[in-house]
Amino acid sequence: MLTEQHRLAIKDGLRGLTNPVTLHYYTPDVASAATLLERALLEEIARGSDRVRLEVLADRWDSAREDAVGIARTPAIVVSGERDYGIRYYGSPDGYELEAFLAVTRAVSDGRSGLAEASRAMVARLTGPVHLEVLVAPT
Amino acid sequence: MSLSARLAIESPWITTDIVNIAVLPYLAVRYGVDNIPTTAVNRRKACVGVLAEEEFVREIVTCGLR
Repeated sequence: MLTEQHRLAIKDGLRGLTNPVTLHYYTPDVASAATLLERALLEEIARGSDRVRLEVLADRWDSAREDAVGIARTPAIVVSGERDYGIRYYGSPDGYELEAFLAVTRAVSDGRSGLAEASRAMVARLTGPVHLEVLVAPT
Repeated sequence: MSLSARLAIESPWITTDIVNIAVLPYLAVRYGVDNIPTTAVNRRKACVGVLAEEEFVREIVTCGLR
């Protein structure tokens, strides 16, 4: 359930976004308590800034479309800005993850990683696809 | 902020899934997760715990170049 604390954190976290961000929410056509809560959180995030647009795709599983987007299952959240950076969330970015999600939204809006120069130099050595899976805990 | 997301913004070669293990518990089993966060690179367990940026990026790039 969303609290005033959530709303304040969202407003504060999204203040001053520079460029538009789109949140694509791929969710099953039959809602559950968990997906309704997740959707409510994303709607609140979209209300938090006129630069954030939420697009809800509540359909049956479409493997061709999901393959094209690169998602393994629904519900999934795709955060994109000027381009699709390949950032996917599985599980509601609630609790401790909310601040991190808002920070990702800001960085996507900005289109800059904010990595140190040495890190950027290391990343520039990559010559092929690298897929990361970061497992975090429920809160 | 998630370093994996920063990396995805930095490089078009990098994509990232940020996964709550409560919704995809089979991944916790696949990677033998005993600490959070755990990061897998190209479906191989690579980093456990919170690492400093330089260390994390070095691990990811090293794994990605294999």
